[in-house]
Order: sequence, then structure tokens, then C-alpha cells
Amino acid sequence: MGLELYLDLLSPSCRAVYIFARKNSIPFDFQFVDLLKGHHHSKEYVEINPLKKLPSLKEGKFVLSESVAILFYLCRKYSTPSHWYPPDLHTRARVDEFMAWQHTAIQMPMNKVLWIKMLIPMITGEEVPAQKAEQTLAEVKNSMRLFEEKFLQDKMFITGDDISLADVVALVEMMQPMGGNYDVFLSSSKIAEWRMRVELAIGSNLFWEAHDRLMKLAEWDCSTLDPLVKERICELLQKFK
Amino acid sequence: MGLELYLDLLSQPCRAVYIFAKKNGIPFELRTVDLLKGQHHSDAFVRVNPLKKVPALKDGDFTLAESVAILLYLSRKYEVPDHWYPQDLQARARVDEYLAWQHTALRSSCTRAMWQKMMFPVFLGEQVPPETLASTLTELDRCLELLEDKFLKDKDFLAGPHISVADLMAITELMHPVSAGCQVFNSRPKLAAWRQRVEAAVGKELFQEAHAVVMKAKDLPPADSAIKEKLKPSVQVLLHSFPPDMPFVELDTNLPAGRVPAGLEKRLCAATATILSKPEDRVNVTVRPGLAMAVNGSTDPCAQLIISSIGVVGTAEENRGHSARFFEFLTKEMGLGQDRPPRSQGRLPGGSGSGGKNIGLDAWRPGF
Repeated sequence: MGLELYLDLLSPSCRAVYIFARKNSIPFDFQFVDLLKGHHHSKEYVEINPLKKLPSLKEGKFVLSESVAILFYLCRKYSTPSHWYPPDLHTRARVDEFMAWQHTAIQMPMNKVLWIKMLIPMITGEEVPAQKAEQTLAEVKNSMRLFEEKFLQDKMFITGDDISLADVVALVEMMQPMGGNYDVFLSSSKIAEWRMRVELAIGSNLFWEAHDRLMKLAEWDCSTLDPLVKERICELLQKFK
Repeated sequence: MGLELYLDLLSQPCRAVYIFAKKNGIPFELRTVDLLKGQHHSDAFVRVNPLKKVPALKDGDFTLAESVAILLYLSRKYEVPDHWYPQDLQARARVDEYLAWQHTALRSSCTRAMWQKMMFPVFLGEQVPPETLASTLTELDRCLELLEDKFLKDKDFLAGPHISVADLMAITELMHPVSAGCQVFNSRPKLAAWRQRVEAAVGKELFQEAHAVVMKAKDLPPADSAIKEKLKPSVQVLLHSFPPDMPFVELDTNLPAGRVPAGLEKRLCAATATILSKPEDRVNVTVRPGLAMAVNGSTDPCAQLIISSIGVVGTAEENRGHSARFFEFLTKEMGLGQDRPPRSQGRLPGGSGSGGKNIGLDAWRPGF
């Protein structure tokens, strides 16, 4: 049993790991853990990752969670080309800086948009109050502005002329609202151009393959949702009220 | 101009960077950025860090934000001892894993706990609803449990036998609720022992020096109205609580409905809210009288209480405490005696969904 990656491509962190591994031809077993069925809470999965989160990496007895940690690990273990995580002190620091910032600045609000625009209405039958929705969208706008002004600036990619881990992580997260038909790239042509560059550097086939499940989310029959999970989601709605 | 570190030691990640730099003898100019005075929004500081947060680093023309990035930068540039950010593949991965996890887990609950328990009432003169604080402290508890069970486990430090940057990030985080009077270490001997080790590895003097500001925060004079106006917008978000757990309580009894006290379900709701420190409007109670029940092979009058909650209800010890109080309540309400002391059973539901814990009270028999 070689490298196993526990993934559900609905999650942006999983997509980042998947794209990186596939792009670098790192052989792995794709272990599907269905988020929509709540399988990340199953006894079997909790034994592998007590944090109940995706993605997870398993190599023999070694289990690792957190996509950022997994990406760094794969880089080092499989000696991937240096542009993914450049060795230069300052350039590497820029990647680290983005990888740290994105947790709360990009990943969280982008995911919130998907929930607000689609998942909560779909599952609970109720819309999130307009004021709260506006607040989240404003947060997203602000993050996109900071991304453009501080991280991307006038460069081709975040670190300069070449794609790195930071670009992959940024893009998969910004794609999340697309699952709910909300396009964050419309607001800035600079970011839209960067988005195309990253897709091409990854390879369009691989990119869209990774995003297939997300793009089909609207077709999901949520009546199959585990009632306990549904309850949790209704609680989440209360948080927005 | 050499290395400059822009810090406010009130902030957890600033303390981690400060301790790391000092411990490793890294020469730097300390540039204090007073958060409570809103100095992180000044034009001068925004030029250093447009993200308007501390810590920030300036090394010649090079500026850098984010404590994790700063710690790794300093590690590499100043070639600190290996244990801080080990070369070993798996050990390093463990450090990276913790550094990634803490952003949305421990950081959030520690900041909220400290602000809701102390800064809002003491500094801003704003009362925080008790349910909000309660749910924050529950979330903090949950994170501490994960820290202990998932990260520390039986190791001396988070990533292995030696202290690393992960431990610095974690310890400075935990001192935040400690400064507000939260007993983070009292009921957690494993974490307390780890804290001693970290303090010893860092050096008691340096540790205390780094924490002087935050430990004195409770003595801060109340903010004047100008400061309040400035701070309020950005700290409002810290008043948001986590979605509260929704405890479900089921009381099954073979007593006929007429023998069950009227309004028991409402009183059981209130009692549950008190015992589990949850808001009453989140508690769900079902009382089922007149059931065909046989307990331990006997069909004498009996009752069985099951409490479940999405989200962790408590440690085994806490559950035993809860059980005892529920038992006390029901004994009074239903005039029940006991054949033997109730046992609380903690069990995890199998399968998908909640990951919650159940407390099952043993069935007992009434004394009438």
C-alpha cells in the first residue's frame, strides 16, 4: 500500500492536493470520502483522521492532515520542480505568507459564499438574510482586492514568472463560489487573466476534471442528506440570522 | 537599518515571534504597534503591512506579514537549531500540520475567550451575553481536547521530543484565555506538564517577559470613548458565538402519563439548559410515558434518560457530573428512589453524522 490520499473534490483543499499530485505524476490511491454523505464523520474515517477533515494523506503508518502541510510534504518527498516552492529565501517567504493568510482571508469567505448562495437555501429551503449575505460578499471583495494589491500585483504569478503552490491554492479556493454560480473573477480583469494563466499552467483538462464535482453541485439531490448533518446545517443557518 | 519586528505583545502571534527571535539571539529593532490605540491602521504601518495586522517584519526593503511565514523566514535566515523547524520529513510535516490547523481552530477560540471574558467587559465596558461566552468556552474546550489528543498525544512536544515553532505558537495562544482568568491548565494535567516543558525550554524569564503585557491586560483602565469608537467596528466580530449545540433529551418511562408530573418536559428543558450550560431555546425534550419497558429483566416502574448533543458534550468525568445532576432532578420530580447509583455511559454514535457523545443514565426504579 503506497501513498493514499483521502479526498472529496468538493473541497478546495482537496482539489489543491489532487491537482498538485496529478500534475507532478505522483502515484497515489484516490480514497473517496463523501462529504455530502457525511462520511468524514464515519467511524472508519475518524480512525484515520480524528480531526474529521479532508484532505488526509496516509503513507504506511504516517497520517497527515492539512492541505498546506500535505503540499509541502509532497514537494519535498517527491522532489518536485523548484518553482512550486522556490528555495530563494524571500520568494519562499511570499509563498508561506500567502499560505498562512489564505486560511481566514480566502478559504473561509469563499466557502461561505457557496453556502449562502446555494447550499443553505437548497438544504433548509430558507434564504440567508440579505444583510448577512452582503457582509460576506463584501468580505470576499476586500480579500480579492488585497490579493491583487499585495500578492499578485503586476506579476504573472504570485511569486513572479512561474506558477507555485500559492497560485494553485488561491485559484481552487476562488473557484468555490462557482459551485453556486457566483463568479468572483468578474470584478477584476487582472485576476481574471491570472486565473487563465494558472488554469493553462496546470492544464485545462486536469483543472476541469478536478472541478467537475463542484460544478455539478447544483444537480445534487439533497434529500439523501443524513438527517443529523441536515440538522447541523440548520444550526449553521441560525448563526447567520 | 537591520531587522525590524513590528509587534504588540498583547497579540498571541507577536509573542511567538518575539520569544523565537530573543531565544535565538536574533538581533532586531522592536517597533511597537499599539493595537488598542489602532496604530495598525496608521499610514506608516500600512506601508509595512497592507494587511494591517501584527506581527510584521521589515528586513531592508523586504517586508513580510503572517507569524508563520515570519517564523520560518527567521529560522532559515538565521540558521537556528534544527529542532525549531526540523529537516526530517515527517517531523517537519507535523509542525506544518499544526501551524496550518491553528489558524482557524485555536486562534479563533482563544481570541474570543479572552475578549469576551475580559476585554469587552473590562476595557470596552460592554457586557457579553452569558450564552455567547458559554458557547465560546465550550469551543475552546473542544480545541484544547484536540490539541491534547490529536497533536500532543504522548509526546513531550507537539512535533516530537524537542520544542519547535509549533509549541511557541500553541503556548502563546493558550496564555490568551489564561490572562482572562480561564483555567486552561487546571483540569488538563497533560497540557500543564507540556506547558512546564515549553516554559523551561524557552526560559522562564523570557517567557514571563513576553507575557507581561497580556497578563496585565485585566488591569487596563477602561477605554475612553474615542478609543471605543475606533476599536468597536473591528472587534464586533469577536462577539459572534459559535453555533450552539442542540442537546436532545429523551425520557422514557413505563409510568402511565397520568403518573408523570404535569409540565415535566418544560422543567426538564430548563434543568438541561442549566446543567449543560446551553441556552434553553436550543434544548429539545421528549417525554414518553406509558411505554412497555423491562429493565434488568423487571417490569417494575422505571425510567431511562438519554441526553445527546451534536458536538462534544463533555469528558467522561464531566458526563458523570452531569448524570448526577440529572439524576438529582428526576429523583425530585418523579419521587424516584434508587436501587443502585446511576452510571453514566459515554458512547459515540457509530456511522455518519454527528460525532457527538451520549450520556446514558442507568435506568432506576422508583421508591414508591
